[in-house]
Amino acid sequence: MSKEKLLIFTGCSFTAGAGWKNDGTRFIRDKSHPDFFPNLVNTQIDQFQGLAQVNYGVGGASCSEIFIQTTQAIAEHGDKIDTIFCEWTAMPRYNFNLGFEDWKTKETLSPSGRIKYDVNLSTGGRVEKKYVDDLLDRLKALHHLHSEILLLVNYSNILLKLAERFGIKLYFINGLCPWDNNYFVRLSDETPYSEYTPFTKKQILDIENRTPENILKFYKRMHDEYDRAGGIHPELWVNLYDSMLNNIVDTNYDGRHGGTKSNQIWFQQIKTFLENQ
Amino acid sequence: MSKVVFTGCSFTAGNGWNNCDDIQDSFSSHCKDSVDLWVNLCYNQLDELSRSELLNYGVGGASNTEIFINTIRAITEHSDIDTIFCQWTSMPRYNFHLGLELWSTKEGIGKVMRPEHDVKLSDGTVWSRKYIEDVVDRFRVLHHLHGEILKVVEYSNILEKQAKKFNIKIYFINGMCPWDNDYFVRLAGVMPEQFTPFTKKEILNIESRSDQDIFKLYKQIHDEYDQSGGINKNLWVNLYNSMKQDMLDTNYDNKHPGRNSNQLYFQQIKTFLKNQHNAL
Repeated sequence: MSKEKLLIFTGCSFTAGAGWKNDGTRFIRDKSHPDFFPNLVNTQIDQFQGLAQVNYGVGGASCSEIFIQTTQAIAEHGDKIDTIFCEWTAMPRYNFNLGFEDWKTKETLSPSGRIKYDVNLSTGGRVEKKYVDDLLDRLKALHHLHSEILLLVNYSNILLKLAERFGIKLYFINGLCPWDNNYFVRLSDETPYSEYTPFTKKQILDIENRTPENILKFYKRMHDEYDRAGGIHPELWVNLYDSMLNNIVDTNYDGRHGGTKSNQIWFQQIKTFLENQ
Repeated sequence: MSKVVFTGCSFTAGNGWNNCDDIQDSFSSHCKDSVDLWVNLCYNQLDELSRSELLNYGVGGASNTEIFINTIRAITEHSDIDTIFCQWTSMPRYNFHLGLELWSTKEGIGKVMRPEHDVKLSDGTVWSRKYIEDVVDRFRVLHHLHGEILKVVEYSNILEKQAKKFNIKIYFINGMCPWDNDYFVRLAGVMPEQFTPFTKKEILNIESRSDQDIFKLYKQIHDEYDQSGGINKNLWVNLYNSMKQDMLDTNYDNKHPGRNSNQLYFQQIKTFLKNQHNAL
């Protein structure tokens, strides 16, 4: 395989190598750690051994930002890319900057990624963590997950079409997506709604608060919307129903992100997936 | 047949050109077919565009991220696009859904397109308009504009590269971007007082910083724009005078640009394309 061809990874902290380095004072990302799953994939799977790896992963990235990373990778490298692994993350996520300062001001809807202290601004203002947390928790609670999942289905299909134009192989990885097993399998109209997946019943349809007629109507609508967006293409997902988060068995230096054993599991999942392709 | 694509927010989607009283959802009250809409004036009156098929991907209330996604979507859905006009909007904007209901539950932090009523959900929850407005307004003011402008620079550069790969001509339109004249021109050897008013007040807030910090951050903003590819001003129809600034009148909803404004936008694009043509 020509060295000019590229193996691309896009995603959130799981792909960005978060927590793989202890610089003495804090835990930071290290995309070069040999135990890190993109490097295992690059060095131990025959079809990728000759490829140069470019890792676009960014800690805390939202699905929208991962979509942008992937379009950026394709814009920058086009048909030099052999394969992209695009890892989708938790939802809802949205990132923004509280200010423009010499210190960190990036905030996020996701509680685990938030700044852990009050933020001083040069204007003399001070944004209290308690205030920001309260506001972002309120905003997060206003989000319904169906539209977030629908965005991901839309993004995946746009990327597939874009990749196809360049002859790029594109595979998706479920990093921290919230759905459960068989969520995207549409059951027939005759199926009692008690057989819908637990996530469908509780998080999406909230069946206890709807009439049977409405449940069926919304079940049909959500699947219609996924279909109109192009569907989920399970054959292109390494682990559609078995997220990386579900398979964390140990942690790396930061005590939060997947460690050596977890990365081995993720690597084996990708290896098995490719063997079955 | 080749295609000409327009992407953008309500200014492109034709919001307010639908003269109906019974429109429930402000996000979808558009009329893309209006002969007075600048998109259609361009398409109908400019020979180089009218030879192609018109595709309008404008969406009322769209954020710049959504406009970027819609532009990429257009590129992936059509293999024979000749020209794209991508109209960027105001910032910050962020849209989300409160629920999955038979009625619209879409909300956004942009001020113009928000619904005006409480939102009831099937589980009995009623989110009052007052509560929603309070949360999204407080959320909105937490945003600093530099990060939002940087997104437009990044998106424009990704789109320019994608367009180049597919041999598509792409042009950008300043719909409602907040920066002022010459904002992207990096000045050297000048005092902060000579920066543009928008740079001084909205971005750097120079009255509250030391000169040392001002110079450091001024360098940082322009370095970040450069690292993202910079602003290719040759591809902008109206980099420093937004459509919003040029609004002369309104259409049926009294919010969006009217006939005279759309004529002006059309003339700007006509002149821009003529200059592009002459430059070749």
